[in-house]
Amino acid sequence: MNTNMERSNDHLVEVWGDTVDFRSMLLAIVIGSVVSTGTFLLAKFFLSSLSGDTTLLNGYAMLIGLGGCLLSGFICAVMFKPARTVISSQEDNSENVKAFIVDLIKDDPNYTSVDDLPSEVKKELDLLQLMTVFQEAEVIAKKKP
Amino acid sequence: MLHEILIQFWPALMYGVAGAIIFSLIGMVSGTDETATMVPLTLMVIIIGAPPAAVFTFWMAGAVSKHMTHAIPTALLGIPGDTMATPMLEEADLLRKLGIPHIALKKMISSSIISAFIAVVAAVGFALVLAPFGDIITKFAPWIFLVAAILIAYFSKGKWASVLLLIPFVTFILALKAFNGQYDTSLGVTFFLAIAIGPLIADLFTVMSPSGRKAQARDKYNEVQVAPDLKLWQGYFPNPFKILNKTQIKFTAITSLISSATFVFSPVAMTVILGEFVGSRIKNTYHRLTTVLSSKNGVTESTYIAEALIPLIAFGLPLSPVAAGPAAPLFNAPPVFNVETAEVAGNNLHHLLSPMDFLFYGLLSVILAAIIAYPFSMNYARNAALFVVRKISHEAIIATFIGLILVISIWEGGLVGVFTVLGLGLLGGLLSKHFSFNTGCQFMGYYVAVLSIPAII
Repeated sequence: MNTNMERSNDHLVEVWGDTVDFRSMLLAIVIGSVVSTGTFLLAKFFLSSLSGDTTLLNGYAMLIGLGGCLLSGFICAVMFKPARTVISSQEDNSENVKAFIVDLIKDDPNYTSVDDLPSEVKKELDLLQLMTVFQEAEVIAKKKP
Repeated sequence: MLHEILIQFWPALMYGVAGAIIFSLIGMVSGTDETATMVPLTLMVIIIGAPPAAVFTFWMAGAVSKHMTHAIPTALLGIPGDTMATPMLEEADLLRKLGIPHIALKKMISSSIISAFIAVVAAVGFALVLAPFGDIITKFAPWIFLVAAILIAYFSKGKWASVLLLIPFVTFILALKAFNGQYDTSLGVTFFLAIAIGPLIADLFTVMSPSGRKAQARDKYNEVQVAPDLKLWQGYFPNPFKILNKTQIKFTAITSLISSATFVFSPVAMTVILGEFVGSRIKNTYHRLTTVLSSKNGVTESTYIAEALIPLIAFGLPLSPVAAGPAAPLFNAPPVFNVETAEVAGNNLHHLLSPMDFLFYGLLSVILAAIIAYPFSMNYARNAALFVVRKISHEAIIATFIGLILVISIWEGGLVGVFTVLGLGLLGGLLSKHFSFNTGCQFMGYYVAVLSIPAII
């Protein structure tokens, strides 16, 4: 999955809601700044030699600069692999799910049974193969003190 | 009138399709705040000279699409797609633990479509009711902004602390404006971007110091769980009325109407409040979770639509958190658009489009989002989520946004712009994270500084 050899788990930090490698992030910031502003300033320089409405030309330079931002993002996406591991859910999780539902039911004093639901909701639960899981969980929840 | 509609129709259609595609893609990347992405791109569309209807359709189709695809990372990965997705994390987490996040996703985006259509019509209706009072409201605008800022601050998590924080925050904005003026620079969009990206800037400064780094350290990669998918319909285009059950359709409609009417309140707050309202009415856990989630995502659509449409149609002034934030360029985009002030007559979408235009292009926007974002999200959600998680590192996202704030601030004001964006971003980010003075309050604080203070002091 992630075979980036210079990466170890020693430099991981959480920034802006997700995990990054601190050193990679610093380099990414440099790349982002340089590529984006470089593209923008170059575009502005070349466009300023054209005649025309300066605001419009500066606007186009900004457009090209935003393209530069995306480019820098792309470069960093290629250079730095995500500091995330993807876990695929297990196939048959129904016992865990049942235990989880039992806890949910017990924590909820106002819980009403799946048997009392409107028929279209019951059909939904059937399709999801959760109807029996819920019914069994309700029985277990009632039994335990 | 028909002639007018037809002249602007083809550009509007083109920009609307572009907006829907661009923001469908952006919505799938977690953490892409609406203001930070919609303001620069909309501004660009305005500056390159797109006709008014095209600008509006671009923004609206983009907003509706983004709030459909943001459900993908939220439901499937447990990471909020954008700011509006954060109130839905709790329910999404529970449905993931039940092993059925794909159902959460389908319900959320089906509700989006229905809510969006209702909201466009309702918002135009409410706006026409308020429009006769438009002139009076414009005259008292400085005071109204002040009162709105105080209300929005009070209803934030900080309560009275947020209200009082308006004072130093507004002072700081005024100081920055004076600094800008000293060097003959006038900044607008830079301020909005600084506020939107504030949390990133604050986090970066935190993590630069060794002690901050230690506090934010993690010992392993972020574990992301992606559940399997389940297709419950035939063909490419599912019917939202078949995905949602009758109770869910009913609550989607009700919450859409209510949130369209309450256009001055924070869209995140309305999502939370209406979610609680719906949740209190359903007793079975499974039914409650799916219904609350679908209603909440519907509200993310209706609040954005109404909070943009009503101020646009009735006042021409950004008198709502969405109008002050993500929709700001539709009101104020020098040199093309500007809000009405004491000295200058107003010239923005309010003056250039009629209520019928807004209704027509609003519905067009929702139809485009329905064609582009809806079936895509329903059919490819899992593959898209996996792609983003596996291929797009957070480092790359941070690099892109840093580049964005630099390009915009330099474009608008050179070095003065850069200093402004860093200073305001840092302050705003810290206030957001540690004082519950959220970005909604900060946007209104900006308008208080710019509109209310000059008129009152």
